[in-house]
Amino acid sequence: MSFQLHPEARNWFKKVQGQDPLPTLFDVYQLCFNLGIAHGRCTHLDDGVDNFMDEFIQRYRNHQMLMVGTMLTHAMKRQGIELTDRSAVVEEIERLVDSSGMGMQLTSEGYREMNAYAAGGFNALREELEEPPSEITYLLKRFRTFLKGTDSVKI
Amino acid sequence: MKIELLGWESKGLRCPDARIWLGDEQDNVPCVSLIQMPNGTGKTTTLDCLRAAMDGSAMTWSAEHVAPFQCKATTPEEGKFIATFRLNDTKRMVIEMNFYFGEYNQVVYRTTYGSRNDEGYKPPPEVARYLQKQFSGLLFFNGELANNLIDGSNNTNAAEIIDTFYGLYQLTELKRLARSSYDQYVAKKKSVKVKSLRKIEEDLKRWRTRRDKLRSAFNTAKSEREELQMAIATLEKETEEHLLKSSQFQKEEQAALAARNKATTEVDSALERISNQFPNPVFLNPGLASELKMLADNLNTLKLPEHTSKIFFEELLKEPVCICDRAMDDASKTAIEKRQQAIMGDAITGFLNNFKSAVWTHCDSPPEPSFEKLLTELETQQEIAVQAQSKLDNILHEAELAGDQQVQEKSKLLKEKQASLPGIQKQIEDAERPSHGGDDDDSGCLDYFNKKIEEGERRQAELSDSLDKKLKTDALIDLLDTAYRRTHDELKAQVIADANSQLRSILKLNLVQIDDIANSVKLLSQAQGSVGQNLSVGYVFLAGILHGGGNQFPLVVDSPAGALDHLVREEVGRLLPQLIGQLVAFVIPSERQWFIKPLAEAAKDSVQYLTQLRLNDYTREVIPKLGGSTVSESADGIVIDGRDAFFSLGEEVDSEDEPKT
Repeated sequence: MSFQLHPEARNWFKKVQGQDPLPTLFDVYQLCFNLGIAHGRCTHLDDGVDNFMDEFIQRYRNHQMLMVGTMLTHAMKRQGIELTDRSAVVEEIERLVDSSGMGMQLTSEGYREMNAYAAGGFNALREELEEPPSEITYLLKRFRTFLKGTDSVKI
Repeated sequence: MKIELLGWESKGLRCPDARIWLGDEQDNVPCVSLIQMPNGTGKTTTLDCLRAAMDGSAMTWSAEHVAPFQCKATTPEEGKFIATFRLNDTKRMVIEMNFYFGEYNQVVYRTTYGSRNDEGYKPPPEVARYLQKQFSGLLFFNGELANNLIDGSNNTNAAEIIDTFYGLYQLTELKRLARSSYDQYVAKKKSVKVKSLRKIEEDLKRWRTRRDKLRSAFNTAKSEREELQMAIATLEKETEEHLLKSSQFQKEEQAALAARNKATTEVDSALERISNQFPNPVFLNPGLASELKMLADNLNTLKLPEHTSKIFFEELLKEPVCICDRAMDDASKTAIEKRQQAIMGDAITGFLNNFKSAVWTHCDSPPEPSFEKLLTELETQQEIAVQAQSKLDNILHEAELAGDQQVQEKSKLLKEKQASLPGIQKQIEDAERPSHGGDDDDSGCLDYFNKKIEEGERRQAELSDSLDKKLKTDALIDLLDTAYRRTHDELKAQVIADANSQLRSILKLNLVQIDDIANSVKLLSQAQGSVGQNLSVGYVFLAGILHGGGNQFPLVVDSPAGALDHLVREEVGRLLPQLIGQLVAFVIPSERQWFIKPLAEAAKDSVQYLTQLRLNDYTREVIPKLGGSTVSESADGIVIDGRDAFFSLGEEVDSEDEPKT
């Protein structure tokens, strides 16, 4: 399992991807993931969706822990796991995180969970904007407003 | 493939009758052959004939095209041009062009290759691919070709040039063979469902035809868009420059332009600052900081990660005695196992420590400046840029109204081109988009037809009981596609890197770099270079191609240093012999300065100096003073071999009063 985008995301973002602040596909993923988290939208992708990246890219290495932590928090909240329930917390971390390799990695379930938030965020944005964005400032403005439109974060 | 030009001979044509031979007794050619032909000596005729000898194009010349090749002084009924080549260091190939003037005005070819001597233009098949008109044209270099490579005009497709000269066309050929072999296999299979099979075959034929037409239209549209965008950029620049020559508008325009440029820079800067922070989720959504801190705090409360290592217990279980010196009995083992299962893995411990550290670093105080602030700054600067652009447009409009007819025509042309761009853009987008439910056989979407063909082929395979063969054919085609893409991309990157490295050494003062090679050679940060820059880019690109992929072709250059300033002349002169195995350069006396000396040094004196002159009263007087040895002499022309003769010829013979051929 690796990082996956919603199958239609690449084409939907094609006019703005490649320019700052979305120089890589991982930035598109970040944008969608954050919207998915903010709106509590989680869409599990079907098998067979193409992987676009196997691990966090260099640009994201300093902040990968925050992304994974965000995913963990929301995965636990969604399942009603109390942060004070030690054994449930340990079990959930072990289900989603695998740092046995050289770098911090996710388990298959962990990737699936993150990808689901990114795909959910993409669906939410697509419903909000209706037309694919053709101008980066416009996209950023709508993205920011759409994030602020939530009460911090929804589950 | 290696092709060398050994020489040529002309008789009864507009250029003087002459035989120019570049090879020695063993047919070895020098690295550089310099042929000095003052204006009026028939340089254009010679180059046209050489090119036609290579690509066979004279077969299709019209009578009006052929007639001017006749010698004006003697008006013979027949003329002849013979070019001799050596292929792969072994066999000679002689292309003979017989000109029949008068009522026929046509050219008839004869080809001699090894022991074969055939009527017509018949180069051996392994050479013919490289001698097609669009590629053989690359072997005749001049400023026009350099410009074509950069603006993509005149069917000069730079990426296709790489495919041909590095032999990647063979992968395409293999794909065609795989597909046709499968089609033949299916056709031979006897099927009980003949009617259904025929229907599928007809559908497939129709879809493939439509897909191929769409693909071709798509490629044409992309080229048109590229040309149109380039033409628009040039026209915009020209119109703006022309209009603002009027000092009335210059000041206002400069102020508006400065305001727009400043705002654009600020917009870029704000986007870059947002981009730098974009990987930080707390920057995008500050609300996440409290959540992440809460998780980290709770992990502390839960004493996660533990201070005890899981491995410690795993290893203890293997010991015969516990750390407290008691024997490790079953009850003790069970108790330790239970304890061990409640402890997290050591790898997870690493994650938790890193996570907490990241939270302490990034979540204690919100990132500054905030996303909100940078976005506001971005919007403000963008608004300023839009207003400045609008002001600029107004100034230009006013200047246009007050301008002359030329300006208004340019402006009109610019508007026409700008108006035609959206239509082409829409066609491209339609072809590129994924198919959707509303598509039918009239659709302009390539994906729709690809899917129909894929589905049809599968159905055809099922009906004809050849699914296994089809899957194997598809796998082979996929493999060939992947091999093509990877190889093409790697070769392209290598060609660009080599060319850029050479450009860095020859254009030190006015560097230009190649950004990409698609339909045209795209320059970094600019649409077109200066004349000298374009020539330099053309030289290094072509030299890389003509001598890459195990090939070696001669490069025939007309006025190799004409448009270059003296510094670049020296550098190009020094570089060319290092890049090209055989350079045949037609020079005029005024080009010798700055260029020939470094060229000869770099060629390690493997240089042949020939001077061809038309015989007239003046040259008859000059020739005895030149020295050198006569290698060809006829009633109207002479060819002299020798360095001294080459340099002794005065520039006055290159007078513009001499008739040009």
